[in-house]
Order: sequence, then structure tokens, then C-alpha cells
Amino acid sequence: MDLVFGVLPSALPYWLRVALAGGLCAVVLITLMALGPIAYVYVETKIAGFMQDRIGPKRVGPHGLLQTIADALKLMFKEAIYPAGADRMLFILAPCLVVVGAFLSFVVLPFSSRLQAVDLNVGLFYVVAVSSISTVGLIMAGWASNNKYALFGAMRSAAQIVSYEIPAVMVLLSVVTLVGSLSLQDIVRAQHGGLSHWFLFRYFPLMPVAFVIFFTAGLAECNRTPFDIPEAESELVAGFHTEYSGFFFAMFFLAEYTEMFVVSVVASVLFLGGWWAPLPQLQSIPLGDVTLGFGWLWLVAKAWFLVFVMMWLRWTLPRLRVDQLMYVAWKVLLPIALVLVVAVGGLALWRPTADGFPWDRWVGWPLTALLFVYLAYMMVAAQRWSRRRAREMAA
Amino acid sequence: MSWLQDVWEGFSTVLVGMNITWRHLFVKKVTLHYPEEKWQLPPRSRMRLFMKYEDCIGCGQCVRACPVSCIYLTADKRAPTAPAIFAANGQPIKLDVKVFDIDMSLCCYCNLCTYPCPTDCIYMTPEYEFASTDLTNHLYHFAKPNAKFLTVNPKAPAKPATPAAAPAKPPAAPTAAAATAPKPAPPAAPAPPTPPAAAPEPPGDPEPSKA
Repeated sequence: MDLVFGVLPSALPYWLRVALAGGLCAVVLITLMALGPIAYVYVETKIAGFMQDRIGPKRVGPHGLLQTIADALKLMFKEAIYPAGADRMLFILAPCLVVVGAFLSFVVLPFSSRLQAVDLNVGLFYVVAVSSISTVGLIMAGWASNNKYALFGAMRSAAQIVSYEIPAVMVLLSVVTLVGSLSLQDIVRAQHGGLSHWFLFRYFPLMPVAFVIFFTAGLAECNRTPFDIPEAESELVAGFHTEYSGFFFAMFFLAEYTEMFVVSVVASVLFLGGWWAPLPQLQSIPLGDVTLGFGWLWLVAKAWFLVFVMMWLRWTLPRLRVDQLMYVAWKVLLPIALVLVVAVGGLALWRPTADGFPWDRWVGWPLTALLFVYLAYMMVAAQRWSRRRAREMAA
Repeated sequence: MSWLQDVWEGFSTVLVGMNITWRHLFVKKVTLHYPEEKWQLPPRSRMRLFMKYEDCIGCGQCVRACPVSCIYLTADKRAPTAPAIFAANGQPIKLDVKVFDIDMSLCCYCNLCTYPCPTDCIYMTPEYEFASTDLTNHLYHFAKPNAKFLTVNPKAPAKPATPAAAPAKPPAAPTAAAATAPKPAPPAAPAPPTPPAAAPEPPGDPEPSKA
């Protein structure tokens, strides 16, 4: 925003410049947010298909590329139905609030060193606070629908989000202790120096655990599958959005996928080095006077990889029961997170380990390489496996 | 300690599952792009019924065999003066089949009608794409007003007519053969030695001992 603000002519009155800069940023971010889910939903349907040995959408457009657009258009033209006895005002307000809650986090997401609407000094705190607004929206939706399933779903989601926020915030705290700042830019800058400096690979066994906890809690906070009991189809019809149709339903969808993206971005900012490239040489290309920065590309790539992992998990794991969900939050994630906060805090204070364990430098690359080699191996193995199966079936 | 073990198992088994789904991500897909590519049905598939009118002797055994009564048959006696006609396996056709309708919307695809048929003229084809917006389109009329029957017994000429060579074509020699020549079904040609001159296309004829 400061960037845009600086470009605007100073002849304009101050308030107008602020309004223009803010409005421009908002328009860009809203467009980003609205177009993102079109890609995610397509990718999700494709991944769902692939993981079940199907091919996913293929009719609308080449390889079904226009399927989501067709779906979105369909939802927009559908009638919005208000159930009898619904609280109409809350009913309309709820999806708006959910979308706003998901969208507000975009304001502080650092897409690159300068590509950020506002660099709040309490950025992380802001993200945590703002992402809880959608809980209010969900409860509103459940209450206003005049439907017991919707209310059940809303209550479940409230319980779930409140529970999982605690371990997530505890883990954030351990990162914040290392950085000493809540600003997302500062957190990213603290991970300067290539892949081995990312927080994921600091204090080797500790921070990876922190990452797993944060990712799990984030998954729960956006009601994704192992934790999607608020909309458990087999128990609650569709949960809080049972009674929603048309555009309001689309807004819930939008919010869900946006939240997925936000959680992934926050996870990559905290643990995967934000907009830093894994190699400093890949950060930017100098082209004469200007340098072509790839920061945003790296951040988006990392975030999309995490979104992909979320989808991957969705098509891998069955849904938890409510008590299991609470067990995971309170008896597994929270104790580990508490231990982590204390351990990381203590280690950061103690002089010999203030900059991490001595072996931290040597952990990141081998681990990453191992991951990719393993995934590649599984790819090849899958091909071989599939060919062998085809041969067996032919025989 | 067992708590730690539970937690470890909880997270590590997720990786096991992810391993499996990742593998399936790259496996050859089983989807058949239906209208573009079709499944090659096995030859004995039981799909739409077909009746070769020229071979039907109107005995009505299929009608009696049908458990859902979806075959409608009306037949009159042929006048004794009418020229003799024969089914492909040599059975004389003594009845004039006026109506032979099969309601495929009733048919239960049990294949029971094909077993009793003495001339193998009713059989199931692998044809399955006959969906229709009108149910009456599933009532198939097989009686053809201008069918060309065999006027010569295709089995009889085998001994008078001659050389063992080319036994498939003997009916071509006698009179009126011009019209009937193409009728006696291609399968008769490739399999000269089979005496019952098994029914035409249905390779899926499960009872060789029938005729």
C-alpha cells in the first residue's frame, strides 16, 4: 500500500490518496481471492479423481478446465432460498462475515519484500485474530438457518476452531520468540540465507514438529477433511451451510478455499522461508537496471504446495469423530506445543544454542532432497505398479 | 510412554496413507471415456435380444420360456398350397408368423428364451446402446412383411447335390436361389462340417447340444 501511495501524485489531498491506494490494494486482493478458488476447486477435483484412479472433470473445456467456471456461474444464477423461520438478516450477513474474515488476512500476507498491502507490526496477531471472525460467521449461519443440522455443524465448528487455535498460537509463539517480532516481513527476513535457514529446519527435531502441529491445527481451522466434522456429510447433511444455496453457498466455498490458501501462506511464511528462494541465487534476476524478483512466485509456490498437501490429506484420511478431534487438540497437540514453546524459548535464550543447534545447517538440504527423491521414486514405482497390474488384468 | 507411541503412530500412519494416495496419483486411470471409447463386451454378453425372422418357425417356445412374458407372438397356419419354406437349419416353416414383438423394457435379460429355440433364431446381441426417451421405442417388431425365406431345404441338398467341396454354397444351384443365396447366413461358410448349421451371429450360443 505504501508503494501505491508513493506513486500517487502528491497534488491530491491526503485522504484521497489514502483511499485510492487502499482501494486499489483491496481490488487487487479481492480479485486474487475470488479467482484463486476457481483454480483450487479445479485442482482439487482433479486430484480427487487421480487419487481414486479416475480422471476428474474433462467435459467442459479442454481437460475440464472450464468446469469450475461453469459451476461458479451456475451457483450465481441459482435462486437463494430462505428457509421458513430463518432469521433473514443474519442469514444474509453470515456468509458475508465468513468471506470477510477469510479475506481480511490477505491484508498482511507478504507476497514479496514489497508486495504487501500493509506491513502491520502485529501482523501475525492480526492474522490469528481475524481468522477467528469466520467462526462468528459460521455460528451465525447455523443459528439463522433454523435447522438443527446447521446449528450442530456451527457448534461443532466453533468448538473445533477454538480448540485448535490454542496449539496453533502456541506454535506461532515459538517462532515469534525466535524472531522477536510479530511482523510477517520480519519473520520472513529472519529466515534469510537459503533453505537451511528456514525455520522448518531450525532446532532440528523441534521446529519440524512445530510445523506439523501448526499445519494440523491450520487444517482443523479451515475445516478440511480429517477435521471436517462441522460439515460431516454422513452425520449433518452439510453442516452450517445446509440451508444455503446459490451465491451464498458459493461465498462459503470461497471462504473455505481462501482460508486454505491463507493458512498455507502463513505456514510457509513462518516455516518455509516466506518469499525467500531455497537458493539465494534463485531469488531474482538482474535485468540491466531493474531486477526481476521472484519472491511472490516462491511464496505462492510454497503455499500451493501446502494447499496440495491439504488436498492430498483430504483424499487420504477419513473424518475424525468429535471426541477424537478434541483428543487430538487437547491431549496431543497442546501438550507438545507447550513443551515446544518452553524448549524453543529456553534454547533461544541459552547462548550456545541461540542460533540453533550446531547440526541445523546440515539438516535442511538432505531432508528436502530426501523428500523429493522419495516422491519421485514413488512416482516411478506407481507407473511400474500400474503397468504390472494392467498386465495381470490382461492375462 | 504409550501416549508417545500413540502420537507417533497417529502421525506416521498418516504418512503411510499419503504414500498410497501419492502412488495412485500417477497410476493409469481406469476411467473409460464412454461415448468416445467403449468397452469391448465379451461375445456372450446378454444385451438386446434379436430375432432372425427368416428362421423363425413360430413354435412359440420362447414365449413360453419367457419369465416376464415380454415376447408377443401371433402365428397362423400356412395354407397347404403355399410354397414350402425352411429355416436355416432345415426345419420346415409351417406357420406364418404375423407378429413377433419383444418388449425390451420388460425383458430381464435372462437369456431363457434362446435355449428352447429349435432354429436358434432368437439370441442376445452385445448391443446395449438402445436407451430412448420413449418407452414404446423399446417394443421391437421383428416380423417383416417382405422377408425372403429359404424356399429350398438347405440341409437336404447336401447329399444329392455333390462334391464334398464347398458344401456351404449348395443352395445356389437349384431354382430361386438368386434371391435366397445371401440369406443362409455367413457362419455356415466358415464351418462346413457342423451338421446343425449353428445359428448365425450369436457366437455366444451357450448350448451346443441344443439343436
